[in-house]
Amino acid sequence: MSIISEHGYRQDGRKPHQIRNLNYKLGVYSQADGSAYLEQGNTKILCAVYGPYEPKQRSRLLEDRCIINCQYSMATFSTNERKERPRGDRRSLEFARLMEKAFEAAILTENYPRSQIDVFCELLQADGSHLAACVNVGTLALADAGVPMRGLIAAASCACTPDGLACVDVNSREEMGIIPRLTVATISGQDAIVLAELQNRLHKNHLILILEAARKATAHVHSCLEAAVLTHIKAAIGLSSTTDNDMERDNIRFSD
Amino acid sequence: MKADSNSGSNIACSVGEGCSKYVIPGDRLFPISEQLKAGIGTYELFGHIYASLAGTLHMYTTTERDKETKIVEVRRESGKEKRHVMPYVGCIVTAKVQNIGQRFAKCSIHCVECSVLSHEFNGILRKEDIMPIEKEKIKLEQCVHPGDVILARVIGFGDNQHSYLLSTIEDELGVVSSVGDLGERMVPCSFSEVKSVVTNAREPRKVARIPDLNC
Repeated sequence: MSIISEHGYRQDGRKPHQIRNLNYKLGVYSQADGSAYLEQGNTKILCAVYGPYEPKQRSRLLEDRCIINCQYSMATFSTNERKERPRGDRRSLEFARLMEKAFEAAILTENYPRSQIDVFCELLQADGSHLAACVNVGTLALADAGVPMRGLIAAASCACTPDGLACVDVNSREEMGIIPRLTVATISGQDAIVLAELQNRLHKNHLILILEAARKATAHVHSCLEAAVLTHIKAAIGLSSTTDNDMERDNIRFSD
Repeated sequence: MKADSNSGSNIACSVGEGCSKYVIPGDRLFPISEQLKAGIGTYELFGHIYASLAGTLHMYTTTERDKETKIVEVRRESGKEKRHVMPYVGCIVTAKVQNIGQRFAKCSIHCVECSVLSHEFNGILRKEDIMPIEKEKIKLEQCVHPGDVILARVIGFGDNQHSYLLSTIEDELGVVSSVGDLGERMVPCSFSEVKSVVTNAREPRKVARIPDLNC
């Protein structure tokens, strides 16, 4: 059985280069400094960001920049079979370390020396592309928390069929067996790759193809994240700054 | 959803929304020039100023040595107030004294200027940084007590204690509220004493000289 049918469509009706529908909500928790909820197809994730705050463990403190601490957990009801161990297994620790490295590359960590930022991700429903969806919801939560970043990190996954055709944003039925899968995260949907994870074996001629397809998919995801953040800050700031907008309208000059 | 992808340079205006003042992290704002500087919420990279926060774009003009300079800022809140997330060297903080020792008092920092912090930070108020007199003449228990709310200025980092060094040497800094032995509030009644609101007992403190406070 192949991912793509003979008519060029996938099992859920998408073309190979199409991403799934993204639904979002920012500011879910009031007690967190930043929070976000994201649905990427049927993959549903909640994320909360705390910090910058003073770290409790003195040994981990860095003098020149802040520490990014990520935790990834799957809810027990998130998969088809009930998951006995929500966090702490090898895969969740691997995801957490990969997310830490990605966020460290994007966050301006030198603004907050001797401090720590915590990112907690909880997978509510599993339907493939978990790592990419976690990175997307983490960057939304960091933008909601007001943590300065070089750009929004957009992540997307990509699978490769045996004949070298790239399918982006794979779901759980496409994440099967020996299908090679690549997860790529870029800053602002451009060429700066901050996360790359490849599973299963892949021919080297196909690597460039799925890298390019994944990067294009991150550009699409970044447009969705950009719309999400813009909608949120307009709703949060726009109502109370109508007067300021009128007063400062003449001061704004844009040049490229 | 058909996504409109800006694979070239990101502009501050959102595509299809006209000229908007809302920016997101990663938006390229202006090229770096002599008359333009990056302020809060922005950073410089490869000859351009980028936004690092999601918010509204602000520009204002300052004059440094007969030279006019425009500063670009991205702010999350409306208006002129600035929000701080952690203390920095030189700022005025509101702290609460946790415990006192022979040479220093431990404090927890709750506010930075006008912003309430989401998380507390530790501070150290050393004996020599409380009053502008000789170190041997200062008695720490006559300046601050546990439970006092103080105004202090951050003067640096304590290297071995991972805390912020605080100073109340200036006249406007010091104790603004205190707690008595019975847990009642003590208010400043002069420049060196606080008075209990219940028993009228007086205790010595290094009181902040704030005109609205010392009545």
